[in-house]
Amino acid sequence: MISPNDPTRSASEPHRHHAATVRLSLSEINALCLKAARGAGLGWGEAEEAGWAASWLSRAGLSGPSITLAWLTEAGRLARPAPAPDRWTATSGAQCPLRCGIALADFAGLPEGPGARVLTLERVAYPLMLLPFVARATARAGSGQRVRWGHGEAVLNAADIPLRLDLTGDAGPQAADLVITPVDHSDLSGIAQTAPPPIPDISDADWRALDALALRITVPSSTQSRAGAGAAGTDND
Amino acid sequence: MSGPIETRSGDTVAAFRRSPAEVMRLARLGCSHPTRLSFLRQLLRRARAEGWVFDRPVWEIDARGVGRAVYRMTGPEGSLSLVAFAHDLHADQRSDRVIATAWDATFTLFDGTPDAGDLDRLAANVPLQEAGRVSPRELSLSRANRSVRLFDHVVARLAAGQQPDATMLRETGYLMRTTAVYGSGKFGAADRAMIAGRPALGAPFQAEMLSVWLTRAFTVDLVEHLARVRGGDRAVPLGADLRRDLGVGNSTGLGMAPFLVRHPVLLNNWMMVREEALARVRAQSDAPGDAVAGLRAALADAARNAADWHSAHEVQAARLEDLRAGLAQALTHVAHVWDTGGARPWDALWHWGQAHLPVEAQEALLAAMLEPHGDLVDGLACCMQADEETHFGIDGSMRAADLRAILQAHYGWAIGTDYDAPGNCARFWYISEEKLEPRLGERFQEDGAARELPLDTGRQAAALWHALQDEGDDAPLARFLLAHPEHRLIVRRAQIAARHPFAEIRDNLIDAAMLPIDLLRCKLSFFGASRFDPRSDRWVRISLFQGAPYPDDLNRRDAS
Repeated sequence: MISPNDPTRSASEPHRHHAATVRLSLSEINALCLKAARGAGLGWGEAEEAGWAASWLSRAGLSGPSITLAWLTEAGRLARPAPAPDRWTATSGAQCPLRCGIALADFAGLPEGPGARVLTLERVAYPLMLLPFVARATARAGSGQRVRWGHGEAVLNAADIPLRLDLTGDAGPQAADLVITPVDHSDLSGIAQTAPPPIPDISDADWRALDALALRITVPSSTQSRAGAGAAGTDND
Repeated sequence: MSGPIETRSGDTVAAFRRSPAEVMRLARLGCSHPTRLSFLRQLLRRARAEGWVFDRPVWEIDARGVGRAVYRMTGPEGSLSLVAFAHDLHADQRSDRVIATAWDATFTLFDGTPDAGDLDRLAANVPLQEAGRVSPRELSLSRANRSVRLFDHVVARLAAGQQPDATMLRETGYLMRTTAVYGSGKFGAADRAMIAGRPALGAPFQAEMLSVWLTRAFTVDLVEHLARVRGGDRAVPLGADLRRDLGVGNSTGLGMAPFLVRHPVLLNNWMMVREEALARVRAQSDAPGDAVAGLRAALADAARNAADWHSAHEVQAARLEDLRAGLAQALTHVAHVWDTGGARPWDALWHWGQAHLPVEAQEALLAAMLEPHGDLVDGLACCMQADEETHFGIDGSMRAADLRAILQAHYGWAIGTDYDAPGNCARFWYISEEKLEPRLGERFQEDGAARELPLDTGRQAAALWHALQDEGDDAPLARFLLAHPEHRLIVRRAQIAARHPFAEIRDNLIDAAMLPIDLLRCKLSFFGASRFDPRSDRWVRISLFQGAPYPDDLNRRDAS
């Protein structure tokens, strides 16, 4: 018998909470966004990257889950990147930030990827999502990297959070050209690492929406599946 | 753990290491025994070494056994407190399954000493378990159910001024069993990264182990409290020997299995430390008398434990027969045949075990051989944690030829298998909509395979192997992954496996004959679990801390 609030019927349990916002741990953010990305149709390996990126953004004081949700609502329409030296051209509309980010990290140190030369990515949607991957790429690119887009700028090294992040004029979801420029270690040392900001709370509405996507990877229960997962006998012994 | 480790005689320990191909098979992992490197043993050693003190600042439990209590440890880094809520649970609600919604008792481990406001906040959330929210001040969330028959028997006897029946107590082994112990950021709790830098919590699962250890004290206090309520002045406390024989039970299902697959670096570190410890013992050139005596004592303890260890499950029952017979053989061999003065006596003993003992007893011999060698192996424990995020990135500059070589070296068990054959893909792992419980389905009989979890590691490796056949040797993986994002997960695993040889369980996890309890036993043995008792091929009960001291046996705050 299922009561209205039966928690056996829900996923990460948003429905019991009536607050406008909720604080998720980084591991919850990672798991939620991974499942939501998979639920939205991405492959497991890409979905893992989405979960990781959401927790990286949250650690940097940005709203990782909300950015992920907004991106997922149109991820299917965004173009795949075509990595090439110096410039990744957008030939068929705005590019997908997750797939661009993954490719940036994968191509780091190769001629097409970030390294010793300036690299431009045309029309990337949700440009903030690219930052975790540029940070990862710095480890292999051999230098720090400065990312400039629209009205935002970030300086990244291999640390957990950006060395510097300036979003005074961040254009949000709007697609923007990104310019990634290597920064010498000597220049990096002049920049003071900002203190880790608090992880922002997530709105209840965004939590529910991500949870609904995450539930798409679950299988409805059946008598057979319920019985098969437990003990053969009673627990009242 | 990098580079060869020199022994006293100058040989490298490496020559005495077992290979991953031998160790990482389910049939062997499913015979794992707890060792002195297990996480609960690490906790007990630290508690002793650092002189942790314990007290119980709150005990507000009524005559029905309902209320709250706080158990506090204080060590050099500060205090941690188990906050316990005791409930009045109707029998028809008592279920060990994750899909249960009410329990006999619920717990959280609080970082520091909770004040009244904290306790009220926790009282509104902890009893709800998954349906509540905790905060970064909390390090774990757990619940336990009574072992009804034993719990009632113990209360009745103590209330009447008598001790409980020793046989009955030994057979069950615990008053309560936990049915889930959540840590690491679950339901709003502190992320692992927030606490991993603290020495007391650096090793894996230390918060969870501490929570269970303090829960053990709570279960005994609760029966004694209820006995006093019922028996008044006639009531007696539980005798010290009987009390020590009680652990905390744990009842667990498939939830633990995906963990081992999802954390390959962590699994590697656990296995590699245990294997390195065995290799160090085997590499020794002599066997001093005190170490030999320690081995004999450990084997005798294991034999006693095996005599009290029962299981009605046919697989485990047969393994217990193997274990009892093997331990008897080992005791005889060590006492009468083993030449402790020969060259490399420990290695000779190990080889004798390989030749004469069933796998179940070989792994028990491993645990016994580590036991008298604390000075040699305990220091390895610091290598059992993992910063997994540093291994998450993929090296896209790797050449296709190099990845092919990795697959041949580490996935030879998988890449030649025909995963289209029904028996080789008979199962699928999935998450149930019901409380997100991980489950295992029959692919050709049940719906849901379209939502399969990627625990089919062997099948993925084989698919990658075939996809790579079309790539030129020098083609960078970045280019391959751009065209084939569906292989990304297994490329990551393979690159991890190349650097961490014990990262991958080398068996087909979707095979028709795969036994999930083998995965559970592997993980539980690293916790330090004893009395592994399967209740089906995917559900198990175990005991933790049985025979171990209680917090107040070590250092009572009021006695210090």
